Amino acid sequence: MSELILKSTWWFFIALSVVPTLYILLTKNVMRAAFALLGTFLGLAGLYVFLQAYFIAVAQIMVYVGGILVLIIFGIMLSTGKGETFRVVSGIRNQFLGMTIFGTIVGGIGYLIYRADWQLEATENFSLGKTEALGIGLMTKYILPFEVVGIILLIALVAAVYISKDLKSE
Amino acid sequence: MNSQEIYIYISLLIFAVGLAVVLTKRNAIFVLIGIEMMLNAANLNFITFNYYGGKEADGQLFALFIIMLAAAEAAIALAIVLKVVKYYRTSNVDEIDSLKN
Repeated sequence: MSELILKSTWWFFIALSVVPTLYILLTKNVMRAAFALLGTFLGLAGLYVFLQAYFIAVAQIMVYVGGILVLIIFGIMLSTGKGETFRVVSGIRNQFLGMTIFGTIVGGIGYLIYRADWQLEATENFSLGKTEALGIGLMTKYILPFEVVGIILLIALVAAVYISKDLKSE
Repeated sequence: MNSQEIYIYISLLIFAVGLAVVLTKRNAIFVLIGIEMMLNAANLNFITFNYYGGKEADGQLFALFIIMLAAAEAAIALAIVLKVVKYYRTSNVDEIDSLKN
């Protein structure tokens, strides 16, 4: 019984990440695409839990849903002028080329994945799901990238404020 | 089909949709949405391969770094998009072609 619940939850999160993704491809409304992106992010966070990446799942929800998605929605509202709609209609030539590339990538790489000989098994690694492992990794093996990312985030914050400032008002 | 292949197919689908969105949509913010989807697909791949056959949590750390850089990228890109919209009075990336010709 619990196996069935686990399996159906897994398929629910797969559907939650795949269906809004296809909706984003087909829709012509930016606002609806931004809200569909919420489904993709939440479904992926659920899949991360099934892959024992608990901390990444929480970080995904906090950073993507709580930060980036809110920024995107604010960007849509600020960049759409009065009287304009949220609709985007792309040219038929670009549409055709984009869909051709989409089909080529899905078909080609999908065929390669289908043909590949997967010998990997899920390892019984109980330290994988622990946040402790991530903390130790960040403080020992990956200390330099961690510090560099900290500096990059500071620079990005200052730069974002500077770019969006009105320079004429000085 | 085992569950690992399903994860990789989901990742492939999200990446391909992200690329198609970047190529086919005209709105600048739609392009940003496509880029975020491609980054998420890479994250799912990292975490999948870390779970299947990973000894340490290296893939999860890579995913964490990608999330941090995506946050920085989204903040800067949206600031630039707002400035461009203010200057050109449009968010259509096909019309912003001052450097062409």
